[in-house]
Amino acid sequence: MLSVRNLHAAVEGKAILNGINLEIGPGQVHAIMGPNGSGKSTLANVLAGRDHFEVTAGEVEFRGWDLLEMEPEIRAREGLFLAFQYPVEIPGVSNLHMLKAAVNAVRRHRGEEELNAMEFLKLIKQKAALVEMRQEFLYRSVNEGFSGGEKKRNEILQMAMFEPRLSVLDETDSGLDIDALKIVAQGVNSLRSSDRSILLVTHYQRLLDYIVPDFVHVLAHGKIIRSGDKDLALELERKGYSWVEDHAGAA
Amino acid sequence: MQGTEKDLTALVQREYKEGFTTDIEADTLPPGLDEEVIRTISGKKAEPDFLLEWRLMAYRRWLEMKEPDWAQLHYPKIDLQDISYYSAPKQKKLLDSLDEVDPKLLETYEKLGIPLEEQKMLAGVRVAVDAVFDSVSVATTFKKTLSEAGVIFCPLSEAVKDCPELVHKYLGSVVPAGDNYFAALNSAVFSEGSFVYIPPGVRCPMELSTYFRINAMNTGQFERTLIIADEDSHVSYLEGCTAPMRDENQLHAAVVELVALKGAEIKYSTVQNWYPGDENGRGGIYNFVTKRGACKGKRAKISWTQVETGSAITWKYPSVVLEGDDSIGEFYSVALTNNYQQADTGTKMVHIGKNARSTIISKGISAGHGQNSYRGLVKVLKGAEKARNYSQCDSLLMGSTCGAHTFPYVEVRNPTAVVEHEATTSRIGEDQLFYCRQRGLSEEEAVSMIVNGFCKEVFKELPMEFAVEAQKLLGISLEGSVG
Amino acid sequence: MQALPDACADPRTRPYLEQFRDVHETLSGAGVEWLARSRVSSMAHLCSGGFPTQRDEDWKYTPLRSVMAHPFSLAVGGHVPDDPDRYGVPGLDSLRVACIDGILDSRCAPCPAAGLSVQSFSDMLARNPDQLKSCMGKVSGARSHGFVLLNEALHRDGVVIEIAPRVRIDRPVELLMLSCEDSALVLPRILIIASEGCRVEIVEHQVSAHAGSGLYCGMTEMYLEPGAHVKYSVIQNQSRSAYQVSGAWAELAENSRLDCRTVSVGGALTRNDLAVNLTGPGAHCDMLGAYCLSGRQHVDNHTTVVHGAENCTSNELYKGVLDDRSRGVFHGRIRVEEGARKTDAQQANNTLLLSRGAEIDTKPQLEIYADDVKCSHGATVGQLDDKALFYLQTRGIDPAAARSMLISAFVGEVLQSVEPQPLHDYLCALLDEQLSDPGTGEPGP
Ligand SMILES: Nc1ncnc2c1ncn2[C@@H]1O[C@H](COP(=O)(O)OP(=O)(O)O)[C@@H](O)[C@H]1O
Ligand SMILES: [Mg+2]
Repeated sequence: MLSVRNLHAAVEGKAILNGINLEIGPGQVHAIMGPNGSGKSTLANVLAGRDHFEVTAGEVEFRGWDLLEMEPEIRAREGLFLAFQYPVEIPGVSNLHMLKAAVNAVRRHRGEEELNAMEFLKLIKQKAALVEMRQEFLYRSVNEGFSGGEKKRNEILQMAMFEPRLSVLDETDSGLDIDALKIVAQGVNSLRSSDRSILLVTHYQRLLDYIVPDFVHVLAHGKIIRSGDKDLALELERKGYSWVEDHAGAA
Repeated sequence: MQGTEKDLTALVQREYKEGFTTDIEADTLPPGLDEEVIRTISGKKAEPDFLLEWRLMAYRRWLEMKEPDWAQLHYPKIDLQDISYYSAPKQKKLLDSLDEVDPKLLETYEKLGIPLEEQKMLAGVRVAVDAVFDSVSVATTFKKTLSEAGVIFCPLSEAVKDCPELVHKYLGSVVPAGDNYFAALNSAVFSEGSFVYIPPGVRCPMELSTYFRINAMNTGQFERTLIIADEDSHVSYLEGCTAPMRDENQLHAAVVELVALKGAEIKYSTVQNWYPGDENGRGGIYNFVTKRGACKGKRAKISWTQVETGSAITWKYPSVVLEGDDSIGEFYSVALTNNYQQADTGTKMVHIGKNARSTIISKGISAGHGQNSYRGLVKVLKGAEKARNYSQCDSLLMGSTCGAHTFPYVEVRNPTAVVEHEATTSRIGEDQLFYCRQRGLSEEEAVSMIVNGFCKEVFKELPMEFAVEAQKLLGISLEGSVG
Repeated sequence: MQALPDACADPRTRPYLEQFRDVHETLSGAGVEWLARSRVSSMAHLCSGGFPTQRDEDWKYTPLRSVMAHPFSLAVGGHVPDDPDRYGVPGLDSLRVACIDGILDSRCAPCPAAGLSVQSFSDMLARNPDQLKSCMGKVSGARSHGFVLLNEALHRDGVVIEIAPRVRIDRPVELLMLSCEDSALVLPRILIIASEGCRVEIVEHQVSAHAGSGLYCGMTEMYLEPGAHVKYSVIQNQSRSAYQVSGAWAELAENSRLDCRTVSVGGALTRNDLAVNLTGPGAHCDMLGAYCLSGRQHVDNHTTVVHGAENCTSNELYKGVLDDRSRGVFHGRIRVEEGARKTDAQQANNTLLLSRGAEIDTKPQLEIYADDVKCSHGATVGQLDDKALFYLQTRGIDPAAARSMLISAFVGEVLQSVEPQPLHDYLCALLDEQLSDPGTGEPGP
């Protein structure tokens, strides 16, 4: 599904990612953990094609394509979805309108028939119910005036609409209460299948109780310094990040 | 973001689609302006003496005036002696239905993408069209429905004959003959325009619409529109404009006067898409318009909505004089300037009566080398107790060679007034663009969506079919059409 | 040399032309050729261009009838009070320099601070005129109106302040601008050269020692070299019959910072031009203003900030309270030049109208020729919040006290960042005094 080899990235001349290697196979769920500022969001944004970040070395293959060569919207249409850590507000553009345009852009790209207004409404209402989002939110401007939790839920709604091949969730769990967390987890789990993959970015173990990952990686200073299974997350929770960092330094 | 600027520019550079000339033989005066020309115009229209006198008075005032230079506009001096002040298609008979209209004209509208047929079909809305084709009205439809309701909707020249007392009473009552340079010129030479009278208590049974079109070579357009809403009546008037592709600059100096008596409401909507000139700034219409409404009575309401995407030069300040107590004035505007277009537009809200409220929402979009200025005045006179005004002027910049300017004037002489003005200038957020693209939208789609969102507060004031037109003009899809 | 004109296009300039004829050979720096030439040329311009009128867009709301009603004659000097210090800001531990009717008081002690030089303008012209040549009128030149020209032609003295590179002056420099001669024309010049990386706080304190009239046209020029940080406060507390048309111009090099503040409580009619040019990347400017007027006072604040370089920020806030038949005028112009990327410019003007007959005319303007910018302006006109008034009353505060509490809080925002406590207290006291005593008591209609 996704294969990241020796990825280096910088912003305004400052190196942030220093050689990331990551293989995500179909159907797998990977979690990336790490302290604040370690480069998790940067990795997510680089994968999605934010050109604010400059890729200085390395390569990324996504479903056989050279991901780094693709425009952001093409990546999205090919099935890469990013749930933003800080979802953006777009005044005056309703959620519904943006989603319809986006879903149909993806469908056109895949050679599928566009959804008409009725079909689209039916679909979105069904998905909104899945993440327990009130319908009035669909008619409001994208993320404008949403609380932190509502924004995150909106991201999951969008993910459910797109049914992406690879979902990258950047701290979708932070700022959520326990009920909202369960809803988000349920939304993610309902997407799990043998041909879809998920990359969870988080720095709490809590989410992983609900979405059980196949692999856990620890990111520090722009490098994956340790990988393991779900037990690594538990150990991290107990011992803190300094434990792996020291460990990596010693190794 | 590399390449963004170029892409944005490309995006707003759509070719002008309405550029062509309709070939109808015209009866045209030679260029030039003097009292004789004015007498000729008046004579051709068989006008009563009071009107000729009024025109001559305006002309004499005009001779003493100077072309205004305070606007943020740069253009070569207009040679007013090089303009022909009268041009009329040969066909003069008034028609009752579309079938009788010269098919060439209908074809013209068809090409504009705003065919009459389509309007009639739109969501059960009936639209009466008084098409001003090069100064003289050639088609008037739906006359019957309107006359049953007692509504008068006709060319101004007809109103001069049929109801001279109304014309005499109200013409120039809101925009006096000597109001400003361009209004004085219009008062002297206006050739045609629309007249609307809504009797007391009547809600006009349909939206009224006129399509203006500048056609014959070097013919300035001097329309004059007069709308009178008598007590407790209601009318919604739509104005839309396109013009053929040309190299010479063409002057347009229209005057629109609105009179709302006690409890009356006038909603005046404009989509202006005249030829803006080419991407090097050659050609294009010079649009110097005076639009003003007076809320004469208690609880009167006047609302201006405009979408200005055309013209090389736009000089236009639709205003409301709030004389009546509890009256309401509104101004909603989207102005887009691209290439070398320049717009200096805004409004004046003059608070005279008590408890009057005014709202100003202005959205300016600048791209290419476009220069976009908001210029507005909110004036609260001494006796205007509890005046309320809220103004919001936002500018969106696309590219580093355009300009956005805001010149509001606020004058308050009453201590019970509350006036708030806010203005912001920014460019499309890079993070907004990226967010949309991550959801699979192309940059082009993302931009138009964000621009549409930016303008939404104004678009929602437009009648539905006009909102569609506006969306076409800005190249953006309509908000909220889903569900 | 250009000849003096015989005729005046604007008759209001004639008396000043006559005075000029009488005195120009005795003015400071008379022997300095470039200066003499510039004086004559300014006078000639004044005669041909005249004083402004309300037909000039920039003077639309400020009628000059009263100012021009009768000519003022150049201060003769010599009206020196025994103890100018008693007019100073009480309790402020400052380096005080007094200018009496625009002329530096010779008793003024040489400044004790290292790295700070304070000299009289006329001395400097006598000793080292060429040092002034390069900066006099450099920033103000292009935008001159009649009153600027009047100063350019007839000024006699003023202060030149220089701060050496990287020096930090701990005590504020207080320029006491004292008007002592009744009905005089006072034309001081202030020149501030803030060298690289220096820090200084200057308080220009305008007071009258008399209750009479007079016309005060000051010109202040400031040059901030890279990294310099200047705080500049102007306190306008002249007599209620005094007229003032003054201008201040500042040029800010990279990473320099100017915090200026204008507090106006005195004067019959005051017009302040303030123009700031951000010419170096990373420069920042705060422009704050408070005006508290009553009777028939008139204050016109005319400000311009030009963003001419990248990454500059400016923040402007003018707040005022207008009582009786007073009139406030605010003109704020922000201009962002092509290429001035990453500009952040904010501006606001908020006014409370307290009585019938008071008037505010406000004209905030944005002119933007660059796209990567964040600019905004706002203007509000209104009254005290009824709910807040009521709330205070329910807490036992009488309505008058509640009112003045809220008004003080409203204008107080502009004084928040004033640092030396005595200065802060003095400014608050001036505003409070103005609010509690409704001026000369000229009631509204
Ligand atoms: N736009 C940016 N400009 C400059 N530095 C940035 C930018 N975005 C991120 N960084 C820096 O890159 C580092 C990694 O940030 P980020 O990827 O957001 O960390 P995480 O998501 O792991 O908390 C941080 O030091 C952050 O300050
Ligand atoms: Mg992060």
